Amino acid sequence: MARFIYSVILPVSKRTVQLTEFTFTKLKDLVKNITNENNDIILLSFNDIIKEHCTDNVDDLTVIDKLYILLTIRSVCVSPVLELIITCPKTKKQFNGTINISNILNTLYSFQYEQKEISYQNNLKVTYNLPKSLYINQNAMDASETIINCISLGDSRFYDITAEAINKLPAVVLNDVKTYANNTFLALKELELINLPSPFSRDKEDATIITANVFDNSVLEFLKLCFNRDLMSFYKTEYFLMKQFRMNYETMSNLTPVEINLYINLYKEEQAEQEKAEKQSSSPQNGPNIGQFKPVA
Amino acid sequence: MSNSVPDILKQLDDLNKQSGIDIYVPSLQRTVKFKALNLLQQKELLKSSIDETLTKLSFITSFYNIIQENILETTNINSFYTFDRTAIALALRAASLDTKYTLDETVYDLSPTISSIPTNTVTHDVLTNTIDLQNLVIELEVPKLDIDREISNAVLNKFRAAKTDDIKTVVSELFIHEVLKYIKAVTFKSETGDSAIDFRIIKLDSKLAIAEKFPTTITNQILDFIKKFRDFENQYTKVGDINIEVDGSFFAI
Repeated sequence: MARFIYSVILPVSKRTVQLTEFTFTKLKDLVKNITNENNDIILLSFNDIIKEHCTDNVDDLTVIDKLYILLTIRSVCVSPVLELIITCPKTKKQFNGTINISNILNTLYSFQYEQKEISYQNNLKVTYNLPKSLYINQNAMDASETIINCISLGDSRFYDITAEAINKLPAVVLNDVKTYANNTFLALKELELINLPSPFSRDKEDATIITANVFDNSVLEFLKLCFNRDLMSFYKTEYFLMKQFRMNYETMSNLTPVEINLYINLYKEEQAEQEKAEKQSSSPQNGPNIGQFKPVA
Repeated sequence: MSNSVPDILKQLDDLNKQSGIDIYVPSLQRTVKFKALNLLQQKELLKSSIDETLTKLSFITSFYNIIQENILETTNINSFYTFDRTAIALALRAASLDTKYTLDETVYDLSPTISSIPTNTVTHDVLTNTIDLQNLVIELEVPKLDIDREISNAVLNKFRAAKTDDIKTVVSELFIHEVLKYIKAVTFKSETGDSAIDFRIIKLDSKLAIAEKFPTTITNQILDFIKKFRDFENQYTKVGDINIEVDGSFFAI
């Protein structure tokens, strides 16, 4: 039988890509890596999720498209809402923040940023675009290989751009690289993924803001916030599902977190109804009239 | 056609060779073909201009590597003089980046200066001189690129290791090392025979030890020679009504 697949239109490339379901086990693996706090491996994990759950080639996608895919996965397969406990920078008091992932997706979708193709001597053309990586551990000015999307020489077009190839480009390209990198840095730094004002301060400076700046670790930290949870809760859930529902591990592994929550909520509702029924049966005033609604044989 | 990484590297190499620039090298009195500057080289040049105190020294090292990497003829670049470097730098800057050079919001055109380089006559007395004083004979020569780089590198390493910010120390070290670049040989005359020391082959510390013992009269004569050479070299850097400083910052556009 065909797997469940859903599609999404990406904001920058405008490509429609198809996504597969992100399972409970995959989320557990990701959370283990987040808990282990190795940013290189966490970055690798997010890239693996994109590659594994997107049925199309994602190698040439920009950071905004990749972020869009991950947030769509988060919204569809984990939860459409992001709940955060935030500390007010001024008062140090904590407050709850709730963000609809769809709002962030809308922000990303309306982000306008044009790629640029510049022609140089000898039929050389360089195409500049947003970086592809979710995290660039470099100053924007030194990260030329991240914003050069394509090099054309006559009829040949090269998309697999290495630092070595960029270093061999004519020196005159550097000025355009710097200009585009600077514009990109400013645009991503101003693209707010989250802006939560503190209820304890009217000062705008005290709002919690996370931007899409890939030249610091903003995007990576934001993604960690979106996907992270208490690792122990996974084991408790697994234990609960196996014990209460006699669900085998394979079935459980193939469910999405949102489906597992659905089962647990159904169970909770059922339990609540049972408790309510028990309470009613033990109460003399409200007890059911046994015998009145007997099933008809 | 393959669009792989090795393929793009090869095509870019070919492009750099094909777009070779003819640059007039004054000491050879002819043009030599050079590759244009690439992006990595420009980055290195701009980096060399960050530390203002040592910018010229860093530039000398960086640009030596560029000349060696970009020359498209089998010519020994260690036979080039420092004024050849200036001529090459101007031409590479103009051909690879822009013929326009902006300083203090004034835009200068480098083309007339570059065109006039072949007309500057290089005379023997500008390149060499001999000081003969009492029992000392000092042969002077305008530094060639290898000597200039070797001494500049040594000074750079010295400053970096010492991490000195004392401007007096920096200036005095720069001064004495600059003098060393121009000394080709020293001969001590005595009744028992002359003893000649080739400065091109002895260690820097030994050069320093000898030069520091020179009487002031000799040091002043060396400075006169350097000044005469600087006046000559200024012809290569005269753009409009100013003399430009050819260092890393010259390559910022």
